Amino acid sequence: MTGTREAEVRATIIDLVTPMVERAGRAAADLEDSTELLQSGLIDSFEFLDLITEIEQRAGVEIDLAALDDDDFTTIGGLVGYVLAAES
Amino acid sequence: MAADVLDRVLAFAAGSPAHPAVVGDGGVISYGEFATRVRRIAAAIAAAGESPRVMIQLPQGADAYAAMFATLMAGGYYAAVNVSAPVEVQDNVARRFGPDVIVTARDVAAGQAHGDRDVVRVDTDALGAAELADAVTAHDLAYVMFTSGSTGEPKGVMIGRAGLGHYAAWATGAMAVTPADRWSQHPNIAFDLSVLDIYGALCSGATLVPLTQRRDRLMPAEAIRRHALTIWDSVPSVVDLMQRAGQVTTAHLDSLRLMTFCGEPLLETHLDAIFAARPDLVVHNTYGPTEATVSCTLIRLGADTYRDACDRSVALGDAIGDMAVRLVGGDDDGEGEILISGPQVARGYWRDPEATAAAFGRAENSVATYRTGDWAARRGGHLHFVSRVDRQVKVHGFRLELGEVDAAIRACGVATVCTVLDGDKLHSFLEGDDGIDVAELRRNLARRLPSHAVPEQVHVLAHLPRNANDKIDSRALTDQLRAEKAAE
Repeated sequence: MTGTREAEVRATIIDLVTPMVERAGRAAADLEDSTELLQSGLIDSFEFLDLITEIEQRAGVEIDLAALDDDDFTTIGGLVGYVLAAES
Repeated sequence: MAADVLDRVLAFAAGSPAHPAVVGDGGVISYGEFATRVRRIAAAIAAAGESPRVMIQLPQGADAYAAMFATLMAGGYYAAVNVSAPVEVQDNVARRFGPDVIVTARDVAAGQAHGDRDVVRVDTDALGAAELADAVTAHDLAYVMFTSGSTGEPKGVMIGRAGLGHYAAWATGAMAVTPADRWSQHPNIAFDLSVLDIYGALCSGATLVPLTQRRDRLMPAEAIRRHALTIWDSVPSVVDLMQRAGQVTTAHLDSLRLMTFCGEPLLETHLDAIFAARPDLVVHNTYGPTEATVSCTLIRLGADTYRDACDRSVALGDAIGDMAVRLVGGDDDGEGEILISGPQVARGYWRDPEATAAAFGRAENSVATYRTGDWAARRGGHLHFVSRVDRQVKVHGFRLELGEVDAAIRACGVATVCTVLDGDKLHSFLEGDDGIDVAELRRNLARRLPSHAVPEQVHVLAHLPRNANDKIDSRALTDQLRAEKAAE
């Protein structure tokens, strides 16, 4: 069951990130769990904020930005992990 | 005439070589070390010939700033690019600018070759010991700032060295900058707001603190606290970031004495949050297009007075220094398109005489002028931004701001919307899905807007088209309407 939910959360995040990434002139197909979103020029801090808000609404969790201290929270994999942890 | 920016930084460095100039990821660079970097990069650039055209392809930091002063010292002018932007965007600027010299670093240059054989590459990681002792005669231009227009093609705005000197002299005076100040450097060097930080701080002996860490970009107020910054400069929406992280607090903003904003409308809600945390802070709101060197107006705001200056957004203020702002083309003096004149007005657009002739001109006293395309009005003694001129239309004889229709639709709960006029019909494009009840929305709008302002047709799209600046591309929407009509 956990695996299914993880795939769902990842699909949601990739769905949200895709238009941002395409606007930056990159192919969304290249996105991996380890893709760093914020410093790679893919999305800027404002888009990242929009992304967090959207994820919160869709997943029904609250993400406290100031409490994020994990190194990889601006990667797709890091965000997936954060949402799953907030749900459990 | 104002003192030249290069003379100012070198004079301060000569007198206070140990004072910190830039505090970055690589540690502290003193003014003495900074001046040496400037002279070494200048020696490498000057070797490329007279009036060198220099592209600076470096991340925010001491070497990028040194390369700017070095270009001026070598008698040249520069264009700075954002190394985080897609390679195609950087290549496009390189193609249009056609640099003689590219100043870059080893880790930046990897995989971004431009294939230009006769371009001199200066690597800041492998500089020689040679220093340029004396500045070469200044070029008329200081820099060319490439901005993406609505078509996505970058326009190069040519800023003169004298105009830059005027702006830097005004900024350091109006902000009373001293060597004790620690100043944020948030905007990327490819955006002209960075010009205020770089020249404002380094011309007055202040310490510049580039924000490059991922965490600092996302939660800027943490950087204010950690670096004990005294001056903050950014676009207003960075305050949204700070608020989102719950960091517009007395503890986070404690070290600041001044916040200055430019680039987009500053809102009353931003000021409410800032002054609640720090009632003793001074906030500057400034306005200006890239074509007039960063900004050409200022309003100084305090906790007791700011509400008087708030309308739909905070007032733009009054013209600075030798600059002048006039409203033209309105029914009376109280409204019109903002026409800017004075020493900061650009020399025109890079290799684009047609666009230059359309926007730039001369006043009766032969001072350079620029038509901004921004419509403004004086309300209660304050100058307020109203809309872009190209978003102002006439429907059945009524003048209408398309932005007002968009604002009414947003008030009905649709976040992303763009209204266009096609023929004599208003079309509103909404971003969303089947969940939007169009009939209900139209009933709602009829209560909020005069009948001529209620859109004839409402279209719901999954994604609205956007241009390279991430702004909604209204022209693409108009084109789409025409294509649909042609297909019928």
